Amino acid sequence: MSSKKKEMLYGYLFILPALISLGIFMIYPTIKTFYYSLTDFYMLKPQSINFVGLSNFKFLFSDYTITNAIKNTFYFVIISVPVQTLLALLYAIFLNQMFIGRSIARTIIFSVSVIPGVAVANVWKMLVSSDGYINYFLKLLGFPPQPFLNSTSQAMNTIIAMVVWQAAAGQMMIFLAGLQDIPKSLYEAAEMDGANFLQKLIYVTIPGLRNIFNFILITSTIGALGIFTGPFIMTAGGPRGATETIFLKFYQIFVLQKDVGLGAALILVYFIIALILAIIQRKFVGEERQVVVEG
Amino acid sequence: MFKKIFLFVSILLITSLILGEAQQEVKLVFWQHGTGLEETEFYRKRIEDFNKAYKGKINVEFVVIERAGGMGYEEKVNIAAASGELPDIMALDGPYTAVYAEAGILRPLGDLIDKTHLQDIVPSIIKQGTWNGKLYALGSMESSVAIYYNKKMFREVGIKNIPTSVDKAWTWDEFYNVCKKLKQKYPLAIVGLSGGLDEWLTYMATPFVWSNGGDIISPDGYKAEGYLNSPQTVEALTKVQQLFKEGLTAWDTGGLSFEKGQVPMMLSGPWGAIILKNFPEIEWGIIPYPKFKVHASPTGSWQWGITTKCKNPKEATEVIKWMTNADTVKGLCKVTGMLPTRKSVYLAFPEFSKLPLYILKDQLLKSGHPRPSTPAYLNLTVEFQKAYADIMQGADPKATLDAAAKRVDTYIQRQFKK
Repeated sequence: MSSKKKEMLYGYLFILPALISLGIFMIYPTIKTFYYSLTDFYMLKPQSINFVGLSNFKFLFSDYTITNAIKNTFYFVIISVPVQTLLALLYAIFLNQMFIGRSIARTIIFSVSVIPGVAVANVWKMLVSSDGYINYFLKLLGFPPQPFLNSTSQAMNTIIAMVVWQAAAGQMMIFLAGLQDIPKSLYEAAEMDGANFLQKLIYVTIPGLRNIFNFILITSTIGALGIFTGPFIMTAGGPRGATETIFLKFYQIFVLQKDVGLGAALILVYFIIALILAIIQRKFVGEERQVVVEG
Repeated sequence: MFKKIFLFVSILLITSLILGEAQQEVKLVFWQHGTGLEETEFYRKRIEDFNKAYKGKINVEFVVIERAGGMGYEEKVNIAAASGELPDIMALDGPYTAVYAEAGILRPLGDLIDKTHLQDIVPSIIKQGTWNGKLYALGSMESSVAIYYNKKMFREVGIKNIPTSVDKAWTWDEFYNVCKKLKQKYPLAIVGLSGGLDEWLTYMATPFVWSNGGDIISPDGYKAEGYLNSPQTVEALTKVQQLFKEGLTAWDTGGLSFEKGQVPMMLSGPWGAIILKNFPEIEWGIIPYPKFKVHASPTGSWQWGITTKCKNPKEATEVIKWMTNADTVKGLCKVTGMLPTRKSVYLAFPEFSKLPLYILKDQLLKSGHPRPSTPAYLNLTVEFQKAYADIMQGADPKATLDAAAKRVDTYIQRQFKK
């Protein structure tokens, strides 16, 4: 065996453990999911699994509650992703300035992102309930009380507000790291050319954060497509299906009704939507680029 | 030579005797879902007593499986059923009888349990444990839901003719008028008709449907169309919806509660009385469910059945009999405050013979109606809960129930080919 071949063999040996675990925990279950989505597998009767073709998918798209859940999930993604990204960027730019108490401000804002989602949802549920603090303050200021989670038009937006509030805090850290990676010399050069704050933001900061944007948009879109905790705890999908989402419906079908076939079909639909969105975003935002600065 | 053979045979005999003796003690595994600490300890103690009483014959291993915030126990049963690792005896919630029986997880008790053991048991428990004409499970405590009312608030508004038994229960219209009267003085007339999407909604609200002569599934458990959306079902839920529309109750009660003396009525079970012990300033009583045509009230509780995996069903039946005998029922209801499932045991609970708790017992014996026995229960209950929640939050009852019935039937078609 030549030394090159030997080296290659060692290489494969080194990645073997990762490949095996990837196969067992990712590839095999994915293939199984594809298979189950074409069957009538009912969890309590694993002895009788029948092939049913595409009828699960046909049922998914004929059922109003499921198409409604997909629609709600899209609405959630379309509103929450841009808003939380923008808010995170504003946080990061603000916290990148020099001012007294900067570390304290960073800690306070970031700490929001480390609270478990279940706790956040429960606290917000209390805050926005009809006898909660927010309505209490609205009343003090002379506004009528708002039905937040009990109104079909406000419930989803209330959940979006909560998710944006928490998710932006985490993304702020990533933006902040990105901001600190932008070479100071670029700003100095821009200043020499007489650029003001806004021009520096548009021509230096945002292009410099391109890779970060790409990363944040893709991860937060996939995360947002899987929205579950907020609606599960705060509204259980109500009122009248206004906050029903893909994952909530999946929980109902798979966990409560034990319909593995239909559940697998729904999760595949989710997978395909996530994949398409990721591809579009990559095309839209562009390939990763290296910012090379010659010094 | 003869001596040797004799020695050999006698050794063989002695070994087989020893082995035989050891084999005679049947080992059984018993699964219990995790509940309150005292309740679980009570089950453990009863199993210990059983093992003492049957020493040398039957030995039961008691295993507690936590519910882990909801479905943990049911998940464990699913996985065990799929992998062939079911216990011999297991606890299950009332409406799961048909689900597990149809899936081949439970075996019928009928041929093993003698009639004398069943004579004293309340009919709702037998009905709950029966599917397709066969008895699969038995339980030791029952429940009921009734209306708790604030006596002082009723006096202030001048409400008379307060029913003192199921036979004197208010009709729906009488109940509705009482609600209207109470609403004039208090922010809400009643609480307890709403909640998260969980079993409470099915458990509490289905009696309104039955009371009006409707149902939510066909008697054989395989058809929702014509039952879940029958005119009687639609009418009953439309009348309940009226309470929400007119602000007599609310989906989000905004923290208003019966216990704090803000709302004059609440729907609750036997546990309501236990909670109210912490609020001695509230002077309360209990009245039965209002009735449409016939009286109906909720029942149901956990029970025990024998799995198809059990190799010693005769011995397992002894355990079930022990866990549902008068001593167990008495001890369990003392610990939990729930209703005994044996009529004879009520002698030990004088509180159920006089008002207010008498109403719960009267309902259980006269109008107790368990949730439907259907293999499709897991789907049916979720669809009913969603439909109920949607209707009470303003959706059109007929259209909502039509859609729900269609979904349940699609599911039945998929899973049971009916």
